[in-house]
Amino acid sequence: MSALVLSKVTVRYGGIVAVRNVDLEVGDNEILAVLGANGAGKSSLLKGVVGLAKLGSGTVKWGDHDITGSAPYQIARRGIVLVPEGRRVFAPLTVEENLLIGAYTQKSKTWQKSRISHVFSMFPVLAERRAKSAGLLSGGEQQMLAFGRALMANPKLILMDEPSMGLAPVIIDSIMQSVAAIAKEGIGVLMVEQNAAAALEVAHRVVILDRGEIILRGSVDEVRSHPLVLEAFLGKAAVDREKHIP
Amino acid sequence: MQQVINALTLGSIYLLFSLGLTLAWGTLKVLNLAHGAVFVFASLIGFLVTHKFGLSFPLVVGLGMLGAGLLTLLIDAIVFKRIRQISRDERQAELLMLAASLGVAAILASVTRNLTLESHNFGLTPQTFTTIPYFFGPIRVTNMQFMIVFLGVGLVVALALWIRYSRAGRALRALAYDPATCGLMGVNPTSLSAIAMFIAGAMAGLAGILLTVYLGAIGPEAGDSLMLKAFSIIVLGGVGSVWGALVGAMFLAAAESIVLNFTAGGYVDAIAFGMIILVLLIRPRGIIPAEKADRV
Repeated sequence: MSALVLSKVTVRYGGIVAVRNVDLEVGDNEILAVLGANGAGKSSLLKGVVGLAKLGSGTVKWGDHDITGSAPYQIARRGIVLVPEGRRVFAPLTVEENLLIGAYTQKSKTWQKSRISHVFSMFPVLAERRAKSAGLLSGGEQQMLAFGRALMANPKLILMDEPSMGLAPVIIDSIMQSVAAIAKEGIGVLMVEQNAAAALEVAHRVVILDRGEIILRGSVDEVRSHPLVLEAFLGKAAVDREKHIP
Repeated sequence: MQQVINALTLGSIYLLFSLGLTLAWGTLKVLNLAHGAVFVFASLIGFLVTHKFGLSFPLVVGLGMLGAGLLTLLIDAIVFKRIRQISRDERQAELLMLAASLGVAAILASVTRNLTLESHNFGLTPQTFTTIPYFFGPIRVTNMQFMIVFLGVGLVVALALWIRYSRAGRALRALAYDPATCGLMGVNPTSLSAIAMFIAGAMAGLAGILLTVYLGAIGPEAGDSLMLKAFSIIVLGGVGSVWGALVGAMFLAAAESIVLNFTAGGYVDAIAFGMIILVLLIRPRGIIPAEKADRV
C-alpha cells in the first residue's frame, strides 16, 4: 500500500503563484479528480508532483519516500507516471515503439511482451496500428496510446492531465471507461479535468481547485450537489456574477 | 575504377567523421564545432603513443577512440550541460553551443600545435601499420583502404541498427522529439546524452587515426576543412539521418574525385560545394530526411 501525499504544496511560475498550500492524498485503486476552471492551477499541480515544475514550498511523499524535488525520470522510476496534457506521444515513432519507450524502466523482454498484449487487449485499435507512426493516429487513439504507454511502465500511480481535452463526446466516454479500467487494476489515478461531467462519471473523490487553492473536497456524491461545482463547470465568472447580486 | 576506389575510401573517412556529428546534432541538438578538434586530438594521441611507446595498431585505434570519446564527454560535461541548464529554449541552447564549441575547438587546436612542437604535420610511426597493396588488374587497393571502407560501411549499419532497434537508440529518438516527455518515461537525459556524445567522439577518433595512417600525416588544422565538409554532408543527407550521412559522404567524395580528375584541382571545393547548394535548392530537407512528425 503506497499513497501519494501532498502537504502544503506551492508552485510558483515566475512571480505568479499557480498552486497554493495544497494538501491531498491519493491511494491505490482510487480515482481522485481535480476539477477547476482553466488557469486554476491544475496542470501546475501535476507538474509539481512529477518534478517538471519546482515547488515553492511543501512536500510530496510517496509511501515512505520523500520525492520532493526529484527529477522527472527518478519519479517515473518509482512508479509514478504522468500522461501529459495534449497526450505528447512521440509522433515520429511507431505505436509499438511508443509503448516500448513507456517500458523503458522495465527491462525484461518477456515482461514487455506480455504487457504489450495486455495493453493491446485493453485498446485493440492500438494493435491494428502498431506499426504506424503515432503522429498519424486520431486524437482519441493518441490518448489511448498515451494511456498504454503509461501502463507499460508498470506504474502504481498514473497522473492524467486533461485526458478529455479536444476529444469528441463519444470518445470521451470511452476514454473515461479506460480510466476506470486502469484504476480497477489497482493503479491509483490522479486526474485533472476541466470537463467535470465526464470526470464525475468515474471519480471516487473530488477536489475542486480555484486560483491555485482547494475550495472544496469530498466524495463524488457530496460534491455533485454542491453549488461550488457550478464553478468547476462554468468557471469563476459565473459564480462571481451571482455573488454580486444582492 | 581506381578513382572509384579512392573516392570510396575518402567517402568512408568523411562518413565516420560525419556520423558522430549528425548523431549529436540530430538527437541532442548539439552542433559540436569542436568535433574536428576531437578528430585531430585522436591523431595526436596516436602520434604521442606510437612515438613514445611504439604501441601496436589495434591498441592505438582503441586508445584514440577512447580518448576522443572521453574528450567529447568532458566537453559535454563542462560546456554543453551548463548551456542546456541556462538556456531559455532549445534554439538559444543550440546557438550558444555552436559559439562555445568554436571556442573549444580553438583551444584544442593550440594545445595540439604546442604538443606537436609546431611541426606542421604529424603522424604515427611508420612501423605502426604496414600498408600492403593488392592489385586487381590495373587497380591498386591497399589493406588500409579495405579497412577504412569496411569500418565506414560497417559502422553505418551498426549505428543505424542501434538507433532503430536498441532500447537506448529508441530512447534517443524519443529524446530528439520531446525531451520533457522522454524524462517522464524514466529516461535519464544526462546519461543517455553522455552515451551518444561518447559514441560521437569515438567515431571522430576512429576517423582521425585512420586518416592519419592513410595519408601518413595530418596537420593540426586538418579538422577544420573536414568540419566544413561534414557540415555539408549532413545538411545534404538530412540532419540526424544515418543513411543520409552515407549518401552525402559518398556524394561529396565522388564529386571531389570527378572534379580532381578533370580539372587542375583548384576548383574542387567550389564545384563540390556548389553541387551541394544545387541539391539543397531542390530538396531543402536533404536527400534522406530523418523522421519527422506528420501530425501532432
